[in-house]
Amino acid sequence: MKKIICLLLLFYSTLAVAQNVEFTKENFAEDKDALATAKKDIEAGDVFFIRGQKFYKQAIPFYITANQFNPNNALLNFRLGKCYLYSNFKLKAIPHLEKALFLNPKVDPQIHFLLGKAYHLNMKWDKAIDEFKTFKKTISENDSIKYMDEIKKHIAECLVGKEQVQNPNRVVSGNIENVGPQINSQYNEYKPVISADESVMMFTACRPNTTGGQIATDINDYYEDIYISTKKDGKWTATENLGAPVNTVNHDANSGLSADGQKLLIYVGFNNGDLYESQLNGISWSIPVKMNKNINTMYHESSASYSPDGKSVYFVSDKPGGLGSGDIYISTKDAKGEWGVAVNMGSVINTPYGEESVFIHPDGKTLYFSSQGHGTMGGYDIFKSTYEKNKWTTPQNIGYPINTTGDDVFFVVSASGLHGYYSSTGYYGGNDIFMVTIVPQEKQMTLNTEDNLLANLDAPVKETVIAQKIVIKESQLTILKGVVTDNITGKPVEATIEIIDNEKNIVVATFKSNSATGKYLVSLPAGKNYGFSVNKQGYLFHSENIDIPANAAFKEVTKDITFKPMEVGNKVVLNNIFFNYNESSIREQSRGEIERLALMMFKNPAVKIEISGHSDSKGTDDYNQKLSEARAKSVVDYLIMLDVEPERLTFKGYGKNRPVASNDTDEGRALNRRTEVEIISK
Amino acid sequence: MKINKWTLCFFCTIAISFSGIAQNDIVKAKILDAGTQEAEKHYNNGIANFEKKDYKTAINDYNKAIELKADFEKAYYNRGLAKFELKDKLGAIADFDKSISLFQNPDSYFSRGQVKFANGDKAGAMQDYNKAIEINPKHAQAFYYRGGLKFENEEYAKAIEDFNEAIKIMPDYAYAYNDRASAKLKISDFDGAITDYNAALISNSDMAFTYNNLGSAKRKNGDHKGAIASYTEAINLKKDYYIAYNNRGSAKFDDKDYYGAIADFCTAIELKPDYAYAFNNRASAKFNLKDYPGCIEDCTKAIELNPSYGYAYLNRGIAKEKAGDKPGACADWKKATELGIESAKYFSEDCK
Repeated sequence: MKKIICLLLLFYSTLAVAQNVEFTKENFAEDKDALATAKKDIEAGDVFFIRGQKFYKQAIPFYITANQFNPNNALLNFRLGKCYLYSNFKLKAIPHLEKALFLNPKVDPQIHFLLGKAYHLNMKWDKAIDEFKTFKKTISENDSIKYMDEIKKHIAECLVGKEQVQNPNRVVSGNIENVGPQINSQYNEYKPVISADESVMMFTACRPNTTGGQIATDINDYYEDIYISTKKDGKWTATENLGAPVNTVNHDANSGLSADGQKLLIYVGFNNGDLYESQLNGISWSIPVKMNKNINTMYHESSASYSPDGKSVYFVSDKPGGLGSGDIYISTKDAKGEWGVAVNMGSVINTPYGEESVFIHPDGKTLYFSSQGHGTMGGYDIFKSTYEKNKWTTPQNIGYPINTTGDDVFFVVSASGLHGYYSSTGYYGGNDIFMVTIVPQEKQMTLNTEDNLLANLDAPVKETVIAQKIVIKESQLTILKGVVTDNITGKPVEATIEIIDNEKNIVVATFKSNSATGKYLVSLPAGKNYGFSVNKQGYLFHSENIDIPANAAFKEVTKDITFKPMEVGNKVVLNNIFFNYNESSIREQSRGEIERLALMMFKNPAVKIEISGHSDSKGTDDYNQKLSEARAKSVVDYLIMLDVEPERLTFKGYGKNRPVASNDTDEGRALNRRTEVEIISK
Repeated sequence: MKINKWTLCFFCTIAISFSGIAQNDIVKAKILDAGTQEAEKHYNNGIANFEKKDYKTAINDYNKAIELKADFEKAYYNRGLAKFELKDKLGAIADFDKSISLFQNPDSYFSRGQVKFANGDKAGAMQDYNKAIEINPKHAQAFYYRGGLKFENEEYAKAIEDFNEAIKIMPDYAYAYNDRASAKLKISDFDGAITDYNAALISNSDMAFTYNNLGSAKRKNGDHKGAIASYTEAINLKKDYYIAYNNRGSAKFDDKDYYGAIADFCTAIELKPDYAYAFNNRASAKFNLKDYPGCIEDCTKAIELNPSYGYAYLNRGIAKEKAGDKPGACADWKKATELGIESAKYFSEDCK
């Protein structure tokens, strides 16, 4: 340390330029003691100076004393100016930096940059821009690249500032008042929050009466505590430290207050800065409880604000993954009442630079926050964005004079919307709290419109999906009627009549002839070939085949049945047995008839029958005989297959020998081609 | 034994009845399957008469069909539709009930849902649409109308899901596109709404209301000129569309064309002389042209038409303040506050 100080002293003495007055014996021959004191002061100031910005303010008193002894040393003026620039009294930097530059233009490579910053802070826009441009020219190429972004940003801020000052109060207009010495002091006061009726203010300050009374090394200032003041007769009363358990020996800074004033968000310095919540129980605040991991990380979480319904919290964190050095996030309580995963508010709100001090107005849709991006006039400026049409509008700089070239942060607006409170560089030293009276914006007319949003309500349509027509099969009916009588006695017989659809081999109707008259009547749709079977216990099975073509006109068919008793020698034609042409194989349509014949055999277990095949007179006798016998055998084989005992069955082919009709006509020949069943014993 | 089975099976299809006096000695068997189809003939006549909008005759036809065939499900269903046309809602519901008891026909559920909705029974309608969808997951209309019910319940996200299904099944379902767009509008997805309204208009370009809605979506999206163009399309399709005139006037107002706005509000008032909105809006345009007496007059007319019109009070208060009548303004804002207009509260803060 000593070595560095020696080197610094050497530096002071060697850089002698025209007007510059060095701290040498030659220059102050007649006042050696005072010179020695001044040198010691410089030495003492330099101890703080070399420790960095946070300690500059402690260097200032020593440098001032030395400067009073010799006001014309370039380097001392430079250092004093630089210390002021990073202190709570920034504007005092300008005369010292100007003098340093005047005494020695090469006093420090950064002189133009710092003077530019000082002019910027003092809203000397053009002078600041000139200094920044000169700085850019005077530095090395490497430095030029290093400072390029910063210079650009400063120049842009100066241009914004110039414009803002020319057109003040774009968003919020009104008088700005320092809230006064009851609240503001030479120390830093900031983060005001206001009760709904503006009768209570809480804020954060770094004062000697902080809990524990310690200086925090991270800010080289007293630890932050939360203070409270109440308004009586229109005036703020003296502030009080909110005390334990809210205030601790660490940093305790208030953040948002819930809409009902019952919950306070608190910044606590542990773990690099975390957010806590405290509840007002009657008149005392509960022990602050740390918010969950969706809010707090190992990084710096600073200000926060409750949404009006208390279900969401907007907060600032510099955790990685954001868009800039500090970003605004929103977290919403989940079903269990826990704070949910924080969502970055996105590039409309957040910039590559820092965002700080978020506040959501009780209207729930106006967000105030501070940003170094978005076009500030220097440092942090306050911006306003409103939630419209499902998105946040582009933030607007709320303008000069609320925004200044310094850090303008922690802007809150009362529920009535009439007053805004914020902190900025103040008259009392450090940051002070200010109140701005917001002149209500021009009252707007409200229009009302309506739409026809639901199509079926505006233009109802028939959604009647009517069931389809049924295709009517316009088939003509044939009435089949007749009388069933006993072959021997001629008496009416009550017999079971089945109508079979031969094509499908299904019974489409089963009914009985009248027991008294033997009459029956059935209507049959056209277009089918029907089997007609008459059965009764003790009678020989009787079958007819009725073919009704599809195009047949309505007709009545009389079919009287002379029913033959089950007596030996009685025989009947099986009209529903069909063979393939010139073959003995039975066609599918015959199945029903053979099965009904089998049924008769089961019902009359003593009966034995002979199946006989008959042909017409066409073809040779030998052929006809063989074919008719083969066909009769096919029927018997089928009956055996249906479990009719073989010993009860015989078959015989008669060829053309037993015609029942003339072989001279087609009709007659058709009748002669037949299969018969005859009872041969019972 | 197969034979027995076949025989038994068809006993049931046969109706045997003794014939009339003249032939009482004849056993008459009638085959009903493909046989007479008398019931079906009546039923078909019913459809023909329904299509001719002769619903009473149609109902008679279905009555005859049902007389001949007591389990004629489709006849009940169609008779229900005819009764619905004649506003016999309870009769219609009874027929759909019967139809459903005979066969789980999704159309019967759907139609019963429609009747229930018309009868104000939204919960019942919802149940029936659910059932129709359960039986037929491709029932586009059931999805569409269920979506509409959800929309009315302000369940917009769920409504959108149903409209999605309806559109998936029927990709040119213009109404479903319109309603999905409206649901998106409600959740402030203006771009999505605009896309869907346009899709609806591709399927059916005759829907004036869709053009109107499209205009409103564009207006909410800040596209005043586009909104004006869409409202104009709506008006071209429906000359007496006073809602579209009122909306176009409002879009012109947004576009700071106050004279144009007044012309449209005037047309809306001509078309619907009791249209309070148009009076209130014309008042607003007059206010921006600094015609405060004219503004007050129109607000007063709007209030006469609708005595609980809070915004008209709010607006009249603003005009009265401008005209130097602070007590009058305060009285109007007080009334507006009573009628639930929040912002009036702040206006009246310095009224004491």
